[in-house]
Amino acid sequence: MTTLLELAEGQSGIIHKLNMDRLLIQRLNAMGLRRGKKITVLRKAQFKGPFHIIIDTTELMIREHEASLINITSPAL
Amino acid sequence: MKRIAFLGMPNTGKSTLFNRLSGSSARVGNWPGITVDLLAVKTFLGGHMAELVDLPGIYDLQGLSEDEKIVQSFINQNKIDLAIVVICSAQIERQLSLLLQLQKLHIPCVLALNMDDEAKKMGITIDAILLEKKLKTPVVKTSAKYGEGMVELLKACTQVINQKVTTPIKKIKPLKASDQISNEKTIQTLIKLTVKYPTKLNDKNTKKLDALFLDPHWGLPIFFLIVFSIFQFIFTLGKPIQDLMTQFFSFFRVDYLEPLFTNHHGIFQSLLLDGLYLGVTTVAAFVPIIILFFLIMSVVEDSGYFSRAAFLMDTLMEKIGLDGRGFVMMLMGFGCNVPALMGTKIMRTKELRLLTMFVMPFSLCSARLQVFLFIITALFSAKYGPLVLFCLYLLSFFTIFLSALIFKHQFKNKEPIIIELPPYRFPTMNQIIKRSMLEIKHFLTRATKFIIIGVLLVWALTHFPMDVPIASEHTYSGQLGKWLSPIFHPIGINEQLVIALIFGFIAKEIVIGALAVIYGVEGSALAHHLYSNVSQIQAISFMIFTLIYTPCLSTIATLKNESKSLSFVIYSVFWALLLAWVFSFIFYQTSLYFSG
Repeated sequence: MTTLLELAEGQSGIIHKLNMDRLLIQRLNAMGLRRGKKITVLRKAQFKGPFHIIIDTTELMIREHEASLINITSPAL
Repeated sequence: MKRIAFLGMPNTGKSTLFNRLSGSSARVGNWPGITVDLLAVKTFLGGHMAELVDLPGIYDLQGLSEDEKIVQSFINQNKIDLAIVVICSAQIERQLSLLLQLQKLHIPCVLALNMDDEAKKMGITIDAILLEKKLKTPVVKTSAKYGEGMVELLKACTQVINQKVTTPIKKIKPLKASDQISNEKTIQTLIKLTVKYPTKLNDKNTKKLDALFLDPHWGLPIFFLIVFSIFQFIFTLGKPIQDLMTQFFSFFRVDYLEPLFTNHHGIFQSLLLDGLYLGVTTVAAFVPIIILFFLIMSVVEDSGYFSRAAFLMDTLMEKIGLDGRGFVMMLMGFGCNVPALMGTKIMRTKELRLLTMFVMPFSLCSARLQVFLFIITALFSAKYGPLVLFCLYLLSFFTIFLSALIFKHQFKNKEPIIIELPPYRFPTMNQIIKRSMLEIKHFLTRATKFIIIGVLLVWALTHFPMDVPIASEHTYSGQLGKWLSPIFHPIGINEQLVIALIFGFIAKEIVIGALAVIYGVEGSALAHHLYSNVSQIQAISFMIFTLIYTPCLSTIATLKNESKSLSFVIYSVFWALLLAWVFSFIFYQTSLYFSG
């Protein structure tokens, strides 16, 4: 099991689990981060900066800390 | 009276839709349990008087963020007859959850599938009729930006508010995990039935623009170029307007007001002209800058570039407890603190916003620059002058970063920083102008009283007792200066300069004028007087103190309005005074030591 943190630019994964409390999960769900969704890292800012990710039609900026709380599995080929 | 609330996630065009339906008469209202400003308007709808309320954009009804709490207490404490739920059509899949949560509370809803134009362009089709049937809630496709679907939306709203409500509205309760899962399932089924996505989703324009604006090498230079141009635009356009206003105000004073009061008692004339009139004109001087600022900031925000700028600057700002958006506002603060403080509204987490507002007043604004330029030209050669000014700018950045570092634990952000990067959009003129007008109305209604009271206070300090020369050492301000001299002596600031600092509390531009009154000489004579009476070390110490000690009255009034907390304002002013003294002390004493 890996986290979003380990994805390189351009790589995708499937969201498996959000490791946080329920209220936060609800919020992230509403932002499009949901179990089973395909997530792609579009780019990473330099010097361990935030990630630019896309899920369906939603693009987000997410910091490393939050990225480390998102478990992903590799997408079915 | 029927109450209609606008609800939706951020970046759905909810406020644009609200503006479309409310016209131009929206004003800030008060509701039980709510401390922030919400826009509301009264209108006539379906045979009823109706009050439309624009609630803050939220992702979830249950959450603990500031905005979510506002919406919760609004829903719990005010009866809502209708909720217009605004969603961005292209993101329907993740946004429907809000509607389902509201339906569970038995709040009558109308769903506005907004940004329909965008979804169409992306090739997404939604079967609104089927969706309406399945949701048992009217669904209307709208494009608030182009004013499409407004008639249909109003029709749907009329229908709903004329229905008899049978089930009482429930209070918001935490969702059970099982509810969440069932909501999720409902949404998936609905989406499968009613929404068709193209095989390949592609927003080519956004991709191309992002490749440029977020380029690892070119992103930052482009960002600074954009900020610099905005800055230039606002202040090269704003300055002449401000100067023109100043000219008009003094012309009006000399030609009309002064002759009007010549027969009156001196102190009465002075109260009206040096007190009240000065207060009013101080407020008025901010109007053009604030309007220009929000004209441009609305474009930057609505276009989607603002969140890209946040992305670029986030790495550095995270280290000092702020975020990328705060950095953009801080840079704007170098023009004028007031609109920059008002602009922090876009940051929706309280602690983050407070910390940004806390450090903002240390930005060396253009008013302080005027004072420094005068003093530097008077006392320093052309060779060293620019260096002194450059060091003051460095010090400004240094105090911002230092204060943020020291206070980042006090204003610790507890929320995850996840920011949407919406597609690049063309802003609409209508929306931009409305926003500026609203902000200026806001500033004038909230700040005017505060600023005028402050100006009158300073006037009293510098004009009483009546039988001594204005701003002299015998006035209250002079006595205050003498009384404070044990504090100011160690940093090389004499009693006359203390009086100037008291004036500077109103607005930094006044400091030079105040020095002219205090020393009784003007212009180049004042420069010469300073040159022979104030040493270079004293002057620098004075400038350091002026840079940091306290922002102007208008900034303080804005701090108060935006933070809604007097203790926050006192805290921030006290910290500034302390920091100013410490820096001036360190500089003055070390310089004295080394210069023997």
